[in-house]
Amino acid sequence: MQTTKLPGYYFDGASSKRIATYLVIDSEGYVTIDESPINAMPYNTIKTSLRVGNTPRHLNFPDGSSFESEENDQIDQLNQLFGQKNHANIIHRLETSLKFACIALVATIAITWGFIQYGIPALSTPIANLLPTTITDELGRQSLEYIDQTLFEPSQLTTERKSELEKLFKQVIPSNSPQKFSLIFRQSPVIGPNALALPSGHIIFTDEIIQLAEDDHELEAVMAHETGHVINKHTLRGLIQKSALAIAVVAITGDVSTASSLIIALPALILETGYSREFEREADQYAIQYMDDKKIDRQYFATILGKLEKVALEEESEKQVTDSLESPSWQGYLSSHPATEERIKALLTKN
Amino acid sequence: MEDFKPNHQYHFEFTGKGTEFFRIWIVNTLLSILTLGIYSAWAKVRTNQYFYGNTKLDDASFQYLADPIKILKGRLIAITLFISYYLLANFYPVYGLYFLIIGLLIIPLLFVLSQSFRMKNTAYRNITFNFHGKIKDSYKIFLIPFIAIIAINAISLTLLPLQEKLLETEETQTEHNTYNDSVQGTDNSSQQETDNKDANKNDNNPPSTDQGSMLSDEELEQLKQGGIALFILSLTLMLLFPVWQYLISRFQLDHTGYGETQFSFHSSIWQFYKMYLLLLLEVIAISIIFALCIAGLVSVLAEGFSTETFQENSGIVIIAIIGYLSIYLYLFAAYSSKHLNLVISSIRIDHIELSSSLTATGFFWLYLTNTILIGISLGLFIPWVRIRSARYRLENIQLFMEQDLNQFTSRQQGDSSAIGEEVGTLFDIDVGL
Repeated sequence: MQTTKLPGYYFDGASSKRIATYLVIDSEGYVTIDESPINAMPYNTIKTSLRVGNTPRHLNFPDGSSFESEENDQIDQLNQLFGQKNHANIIHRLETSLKFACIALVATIAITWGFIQYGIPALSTPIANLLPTTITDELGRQSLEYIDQTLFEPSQLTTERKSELEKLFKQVIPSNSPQKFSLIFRQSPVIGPNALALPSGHIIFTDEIIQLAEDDHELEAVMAHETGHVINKHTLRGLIQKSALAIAVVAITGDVSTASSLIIALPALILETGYSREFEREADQYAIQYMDDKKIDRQYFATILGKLEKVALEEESEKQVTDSLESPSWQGYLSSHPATEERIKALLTKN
Repeated sequence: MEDFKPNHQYHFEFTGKGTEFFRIWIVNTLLSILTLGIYSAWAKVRTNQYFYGNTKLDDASFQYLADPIKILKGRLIAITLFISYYLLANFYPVYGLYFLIIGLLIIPLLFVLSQSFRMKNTAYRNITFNFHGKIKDSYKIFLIPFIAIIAINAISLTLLPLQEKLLETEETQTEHNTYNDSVQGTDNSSQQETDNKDANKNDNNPPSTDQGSMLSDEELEQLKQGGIALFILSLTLMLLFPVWQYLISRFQLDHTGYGETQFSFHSSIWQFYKMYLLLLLEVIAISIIFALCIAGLVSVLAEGFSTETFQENSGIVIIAIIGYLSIYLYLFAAYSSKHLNLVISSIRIDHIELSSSLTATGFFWLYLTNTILIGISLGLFIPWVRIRSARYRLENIQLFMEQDLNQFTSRQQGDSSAIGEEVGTLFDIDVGL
């Protein structure tokens, strides 16, 4: 290799004075600055800044002065010839390769999707089991307090009817579970016929759903479904998954401006409703299992689901109907639940 | 500054390219994911270097010097704080406010530490910037307006009648009721007992087995009181916010230096109030015009409107929603441009004056296209968005000076306050400008 001359700017480090000059590297690897009294020094005493894109490089001399140059390719060559090994340049090569960018894109999307689809739900169960029950009790207490203030009014059912249903409820809840359960009656013109499960084991039935059911087996099916939510810790898992999702979104997107991050929040919301749909399937599964064990016709469950769907469609303008309370923010029944038709089909065809 | 005759004028240039940055971004994202976030510190250094290196003033580029290991340490602390805050706030939403207050209390500290870290690691023409604001002063500036707000609200609350009653009823009523309702009820017999107790205790509520949600007169009165308190709180917040912003900007810029040369902040509280006043006038004017437009549309389509079906009026509703969102975006753009222009043009660096010519329409267009681009690409356009945003902000800044840029000198070695900077290197969180 012959003498190399790189155009650029020399800065002495003591002042901002800029000298447009050349960096001269001879065949032995000794460096001088053109038209400058500076002593020749070996190239490997210079620290070169990392190469990122095509940003100018800064060659830092031991005396604190530096040379700024855009001749990136030549500097890379010199680094290879005279300098110390430059591992960081592997990254630069990856960052400039179109092929690798495509691979990285596909891999990033695949990993993100897999993590959201399988990773987070798989992680939430062990984490939910680790958390003490005081958390779920507290959550249930707060939720009940909140919805009592906003949605519910005292139940108008007779005491006889209540004790009838409570007797039924005692049969539905598992006898050997450490989880506590209790049945609560409320009237709610706001949400209409509905049942909710709180993580503390409080299961709320509205007067409206009790009136909607023509047979107590229908209510039994709903009780089993709600019990399934509690047993499988759906509220807690929902919160854990939501938190994990939020942390993942922050980690991946980093610092995007406020207006743009609004748009990022939308896909996150869609994913969340996807999670709650999965919970509904699990709860349905629990109810089906219960009904099969008790030799109750699954048709009862299908009937009440069909009725609820009808009511929901009638009140299309207000999609306030909801089933399990995931959080104080209400999600529409139709979006957070799998399509009712699909649910009914699933429960009537499965063995 | 009357004798100021600028004979040199420079403006920032930004040479970053979206296609180039996309590759850097996607590779760094993948590596960050594969290393469970550890690589993100290196990714941050490379990303920042890409933006700094492409920022040019008089053909010389900026340089980002941070050590990734220090950023990693800062990130570990920050992510621990973030996760614990997020989880606590989610699982105990009622105490969210307390967690928020604790979070707010560390902001003044983080502000100084991160500002110091960033400035120290920014270089131009081989001279580094510096920030030497004191943590003590940071607390004064961040907390004094808070204390003022609390004091004003405390005084106004004591002047309100019925205040004592409000506190009393709140304590006795809600606490007992909800406690019974939640803790009890493992089986059905105890549930009924609780219900009876509830009914006895709550004379106001209709006799029922459940805790009612009907509002009594007392509760209504509480709501009214709460409304007044909230009004006073938001009023004081609005009046003090410009002062606060001014103080923070002044603190930030008065303690920033480039080498030995000090920055100074030449503005006044009045300038900040003026900015908000103009913004308020703009809000009012736009709202009136918008309301008139909608009213006009409705009257034109008056017959269609009277049928009262949603479908037939959905056209107007959609126009109204789009109009509302655009206004919101426009006002955000107007605020951003006014605020940035004010702060940047108030900076003096020795005899250098700065000016910034960002416009509301410029920002509006930028935000609008950014949002659409990210929306339709599910985030893949983030690299282009970041490049465009940086270019727009930077290329609107001009510098005016008497001499050229060769006159600055670097700081003497070893006169930086060691402890502050050592702690400062622990954190790397972007706050501020």
